[in-house]
Parts: sequence; C-alpha cells; structure tokens
Amino acid sequence: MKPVGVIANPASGRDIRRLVTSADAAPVSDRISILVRMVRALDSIGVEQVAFMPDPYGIGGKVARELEGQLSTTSVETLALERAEANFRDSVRCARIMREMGCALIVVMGGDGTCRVVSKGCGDTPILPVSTGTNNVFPQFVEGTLLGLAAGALASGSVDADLCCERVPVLELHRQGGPVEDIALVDVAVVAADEIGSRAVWRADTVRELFLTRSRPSQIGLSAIGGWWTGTPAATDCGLYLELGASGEPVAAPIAPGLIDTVRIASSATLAGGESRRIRHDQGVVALDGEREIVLTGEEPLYVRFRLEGPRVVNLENTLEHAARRGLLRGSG
Amino acid sequence: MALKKEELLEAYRRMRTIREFEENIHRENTTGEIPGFLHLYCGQEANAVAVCMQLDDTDYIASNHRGHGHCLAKGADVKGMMLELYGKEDGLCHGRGGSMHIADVSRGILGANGIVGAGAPLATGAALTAKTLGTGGVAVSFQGDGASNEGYVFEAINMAVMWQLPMIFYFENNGYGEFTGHDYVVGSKDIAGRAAAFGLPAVRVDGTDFFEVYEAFGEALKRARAGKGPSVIEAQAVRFYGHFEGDPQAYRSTEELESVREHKDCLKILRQKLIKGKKATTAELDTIDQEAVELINACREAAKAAAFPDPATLMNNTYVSY
Repeated sequence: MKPVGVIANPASGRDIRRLVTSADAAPVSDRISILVRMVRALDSIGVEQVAFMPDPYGIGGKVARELEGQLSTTSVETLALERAEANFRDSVRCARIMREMGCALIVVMGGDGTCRVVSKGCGDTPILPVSTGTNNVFPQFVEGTLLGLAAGALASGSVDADLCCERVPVLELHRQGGPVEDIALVDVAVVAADEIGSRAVWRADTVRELFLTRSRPSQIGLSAIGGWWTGTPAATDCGLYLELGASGEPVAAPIAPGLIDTVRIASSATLAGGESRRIRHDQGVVALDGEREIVLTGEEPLYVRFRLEGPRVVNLENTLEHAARRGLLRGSG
Repeated sequence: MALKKEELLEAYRRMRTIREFEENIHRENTTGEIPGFLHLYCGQEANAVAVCMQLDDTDYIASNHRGHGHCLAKGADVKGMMLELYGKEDGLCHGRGGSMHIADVSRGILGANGIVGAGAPLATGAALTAKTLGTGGVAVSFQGDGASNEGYVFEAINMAVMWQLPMIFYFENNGYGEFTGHDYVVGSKDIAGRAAAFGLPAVRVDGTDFFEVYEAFGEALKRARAGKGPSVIEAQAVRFYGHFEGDPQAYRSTEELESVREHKDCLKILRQKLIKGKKATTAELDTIDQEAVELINACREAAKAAAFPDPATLMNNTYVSY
C-alpha cells in the first residue's frame, strides 16, 4: 500500500478576480471538509499513510483532529518541512518529497497555478487536481469521497496506474538553446503590463500573444479564447498559438467568471509536439496559467515550446470505473 | 496599472519617509522625550502608501494604534506629526493626541485609534456620509488581524454591505495581534474568506509588494467610486518591531526577525523592482533616501526645540467637533 500525498493550497481563490469579476472561492473550512471526506474513503480502502504539505492554516492537522479516533488504518501526517516559506516554493519542495516517499499520487487542491508549481516537482508521480475556485481549467470539481476512492484505488494497486493516468501536454519557457526556465499547463500569455502586480490577467485587451496546450469552448479563462476561435476541441497532440491585436477577426470568450470579453485574432497557428516558438514581443509581462510571472526586459528573447510529455494526471472517471470492474468495493462491509 | 516615473518615485519617497520617521522614533524613544506608547509601522509601508496615494482629501481613512504610516501616507504634515508625538503645542493635534489619537480631518484622516478595530465602524459612518451627501468620497479603514475578530468590525462590514457604501476594509495581517500569533486566534485563519461570507468581494494580497497592493486597491476603489459597494482586502504583511516599543518579542525567533527584514522588506522589494525595471536609477533612489533622512532629522530637532502647550490651555482642543 503506497502513501498518498496531499498538497492543498490554502491561499488559492483569493486573487483580484474576486474584485473585478464575479469569481467566487471556497473558504478554507470547505477545503478541509472535502479532505476529511477524502480521508474517510482512503481509510475504507485500507490506505495506511496520507502525507499533507504543511501550511500556515494547518490543513493537515485540522483534518487529522477532525478524524481523531475514527480511522481504522489511515494515519494522517503533515510533512516536517525545514524552513517552510508558506509560498509556492513549499509546494514544489513537497511534491519532490512526496515523489521520493514513493507516493502513489499527489492530490493537488488549488487552481491552475497550484497544479503548475506541483508539476515542477512531482516528476512521474501522478497528480489528481481538485478545483477550489471557479476560474480553473486544469483541476476539476470533485466530491471528496470519490476523490478518496480514486486515490485509494491507485494507492492500493487495485488499478493499473498506466491505464488510469494520462500524460498531458506542457508549455516550456526557455531561451534559445537554454534549459527550461518555467512551465505552464494550460496557457502562456504575453500581456501589455509594466508589472506583475496582482498577478491575475482579466483584461482581454491587454493580451498580445497566447500559447495554449488546450482550447475548448467548455473552458473558462484565456484558453477559452482558443476554444471559441476554433469552435472545436483541439487535437490532443497539438497546441495553439494566437496573436491578438487591434485588427483581425473578433471573437468573444468567457475569460473569467461572469466576464465575456472580445479580442481580435490577428493570426493563428497550431503547435506541433516539440515545436518552439519565439515570443514576438520584447516588452510586457508573461503570464503562466493566468498569473503574471515574468517581466520582459527586452534582453534575450524567450521561447515557448509545446511538449507532449507533461505531468501524469489521474483520470478520475477511468480510475473509478477500473476500480469497480476490479471489484474494489465488492464484498466489503 | 501604468504608473508614471514621478508617481513611482513619489511612492518610494513616501515609503522611505515613513520608514525613516519610524526608525527615528525607535531610536529616540529610549531618551524618554517621547511620551506615551508607540506602535511602529516599519515593514508595512507599502500598504499605507499604495492605498493612500490613490485617495484625495475628499476620501477618509480611519487608522488603528499603528497609525503613523497611514497618516503620513495620506498627506499629514511630517513635522506636525513629529511635534505631535513629542507632545508639543504646534503638533498636528496641539500635543493632545500623541501617537494613538493623531488626526487631521482636513486631509480626511479621522485618526489613529487605540481601540482595536474601532476604525471600521467610524469609517463606515464616513462612507455613509459620503454616500448621503454625494461627495464621491470613499472611506477606508485600516485594521489588523486582531481586529478581524472584533464584533463591531463584523457589524461594520454587514452595514456597509447592506447600504452598499463606498467603503474598503483593509486588513493588514502582520501575523500577530499584539503578542499572539494570528494562526492561534483567527479561527478560520482566513480573514478574506471569512469576510466574503458577508456578501462582498474579498481578496488577499501580498502586503510586501507595492504593485500588488496598488492594483488590487485600485480596483476596489473603482468599485466603490462607481457605487458598487464595499470590498475587503487582506494584506499579508510583516511587522519588523514588537507590538509596542519596548516589547521584547520573546514570542518571535531571531531567525524570523532576521528573515523578514532580509526577504520581506517592502522598501527593498520596491527598490529592486524599480531598478531592475529601469524605472529609477540607484542614484535617484539614494538621493530620496538621503532627503528622507535630512527631513526627519530636521523634524526631530524642531520637535525637541518646540514648546509644550501652556498648562493653562489643558482643556483646549481636547474635544473636536467634526
């Protein structure tokens, strides 16, 4: 029985989009409730160890206290992290630790940004992304109990991880011939801005270039621009590049909750696996998965590479179906 | 958020002036010449400045016990502030207010306040006035994580939502309510999340990043001015000194104190960003640093030399009619 890692970001869902759009957010107490239900399900399968990332809100400790004396097999622990910083670097470090611990998977509770930073540290350990807000593409809303059953099925070896997990594409930022400097799981956007500021991107008229791993009309956020531009789900083995400008064909898209905005597509191109494309603008800010991260200084140009071999992501529905076919819960109780 | 160079330099100047003002008081307090309790704002300057530089004199702020930075950022006269802290007749409140009751209503500064959280209902009243009279003004209350647990703060938020007032509740969560960790006394540990339950937008920002605060507050201000009602901002801030001057901070480790000064100093962070982004030169910022030192030194000497109020005027200026 392998351990299950949990990286729950208490800070996600509090960004400026609550002011400028109609975005909502689950309070931390709701996240704890979801995780309590998850651990109950893990316990029912016999998972022995659940390891939480430490955080200033003490989510792991609260889950443990809530379940004190009620669990048969599962021990809920919070990792001891030397010099914890209570920021994204803790998530990267914990993902590495959980990989080294041999966790069957890492449950990631947060938004696209949280999934992005965990992906930097998890290596081949699958992640199971769970949304806590309304503005996410990568994670999905999942009932905690089902989350626990899927995680337990993988931890117990009841299902084959290779059948239940899929590699998703990734966008890699690099200089010419240089190493990967950062990644994005959904979108890289070049926006007209001077500063990183409050990080979020919510004004479509500031977006100049867009690199997408996925573009579906059923998504919300910048990647929805691609979805509503192409009108069809992009093939899973290619990405999309869009250049936005003052002229070109207009398209509206839901770029934030309650916010449908119009942009003009000056040009577009598909991105093949392994293809690198130079960012045309040398001024502005590069946003990764909807968060401004890098100020362009006009010095060495940045490139974005579309790569098919991104992180392994648990397909919850497939996992539960495989588990049911293997009789995970039959004869129990 | 495209700030002009002169605006960025002004922001740096205000932050630097507050820092120098507070560091000066920290040094001078041990001489016994400054009466009363002092609560220093060092480490939190980005918050007061990024908020107040977007306000004008028709807007109101209500501050808390750690109020020097808020008042200076909102435009209170620096020399008048210094004289007030020294209890002198020519101080901003004729020496009657001191650190925790300093005010300048002409600038929309309703005052520092020694009662934890009391600024929130006062500012809510100012917001109601602004709405009723149609002045276009907005009210901002500054309070800490400790105040986030006070009942009348909840009442003020509720009223502001109910009446859709032009009001922004700005929580500076510096991690400690007096001597107790925020993580011990704030039940949900999530001030913004808890506030959102009142039915208004609530966001969290990095209070060490001037640009992040400026942008988020700017959006809250736009909402308030447009009649869209109140907002809450929780800023994750850091406090360099103790709760009050003289607090030995036995509840904080040396490593923590060193770390916040090294890695979370909002002034250093702004300086680095301005230089890296080629928005200011080291020489320009050094000049501002030097001018701030000279200004505060001059204010201090003026304060020391200034006259105390005549004891016969003890009861004058004690009550103010707003």
